[in-house]
Amino acid sequence: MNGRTMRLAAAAAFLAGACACADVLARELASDQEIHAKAALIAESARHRTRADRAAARALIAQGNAAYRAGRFDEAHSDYDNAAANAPSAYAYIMTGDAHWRAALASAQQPGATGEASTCRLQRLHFVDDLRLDLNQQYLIGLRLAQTTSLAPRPGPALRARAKASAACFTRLAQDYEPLPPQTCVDPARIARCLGMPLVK
Amino acid sequence: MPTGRVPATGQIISTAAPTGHAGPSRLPEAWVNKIASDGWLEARSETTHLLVPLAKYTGVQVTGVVKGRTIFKVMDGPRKGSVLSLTEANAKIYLGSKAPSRTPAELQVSYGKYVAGWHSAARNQDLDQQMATLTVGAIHARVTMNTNWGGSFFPLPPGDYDVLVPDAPHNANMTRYYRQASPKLIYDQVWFPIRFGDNSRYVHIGNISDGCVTVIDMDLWGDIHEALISHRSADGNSVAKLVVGGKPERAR
Repeated sequence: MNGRTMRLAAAAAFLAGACACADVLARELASDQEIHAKAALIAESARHRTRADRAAARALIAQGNAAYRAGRFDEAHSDYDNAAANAPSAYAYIMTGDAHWRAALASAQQPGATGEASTCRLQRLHFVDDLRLDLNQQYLIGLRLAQTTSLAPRPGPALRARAKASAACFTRLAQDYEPLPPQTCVDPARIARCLGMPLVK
Repeated sequence: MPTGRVPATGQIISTAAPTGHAGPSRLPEAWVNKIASDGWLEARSETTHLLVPLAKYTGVQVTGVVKGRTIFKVMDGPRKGSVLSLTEANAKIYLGSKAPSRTPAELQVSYGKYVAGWHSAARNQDLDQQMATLTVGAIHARVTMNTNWGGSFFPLPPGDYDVLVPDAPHNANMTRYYRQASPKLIYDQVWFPIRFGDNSRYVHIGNISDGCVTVIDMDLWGDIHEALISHRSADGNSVAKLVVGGKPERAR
């Protein structure tokens, strides 16, 4: 049974009232063709960016790198995300995805209001959707742009390899959690393993 | 030689010192009545000579004119007490007699649907939005209450909040690119802080909300800005009462 068939089966079960899954119809991972087409559109749009747009993106990436190195991943995520909006680059897309999940991991590992470690900050309910959104729009787009464009700043080979490994790991993670009940706690250690060591040192 | 920034253009200008009269002024209190397209008036500090941003309808007391520059004291808001100056010509353009209303504006936000995959043309991106409707006076606008999920951000809980006077221009690089999709967008660097937690949530324009009240209908921002900034609470610290009603479909 492939992924699509499994989702359809889960949907049918849900409609029959036999499944407690709240979002059985989780968004799908984009196909290679979809990623290729989206990356081509982004690369084309990059040609129309002005010098001011590129300068804004450079400034935001510098800010993002500083925040990332300091462990302020929410701030880094916002900077990289807006850098890509000003002037797209493989680096900005990859780092947006990476910083987002480092921020999520940091939040999941924060102690609760009473001081104890939070046991279930991330649940499967939206996790698969959230993860695939970033795979479809950040990691996979960034990796494709790295292959097909020279938009600055370009990620180096080591960063690209690490991002590719993270994307593959997150793809498996989404697959693993997809069939589970919505209240299932997501294990932060699995997110941490997918992220590995920080990409920017 | 005195210098200043022409607020509408950002141009730094120098003016030869004329023989303007000096000494205490008997002018009545005035207010910032005109701002640049970024939403701010920048005036020169008489202490540091650095440019200081002032929001529209900030109250000032003109104390005199020295070497062609109108000197004034800021009477309210985050720069209260600062002594600043503008060239006489710019003071005539940017300061005026229109005062803000002395009651806070009423801003209502009603939660709506959670929309997965909402497409942002400006960002060429699909976004998962907790939508809501903002109402201020006769203006109704679509807002997103959170876009950034999985981490520490979440939609503002239902309740009443103060919306504070904006303190300084926000980074233009975070919003300037929206002008490609909305060429009429103005005042995008004015973000109104919401008194909640560390006050890092804002009423602002954009397509991405980190738990803020983020106005998606960019062409309405000029009117929303005016509807908020033209009000002040009795203590001068806030511009509006925000009432968030309903319940977000997605809370985390």
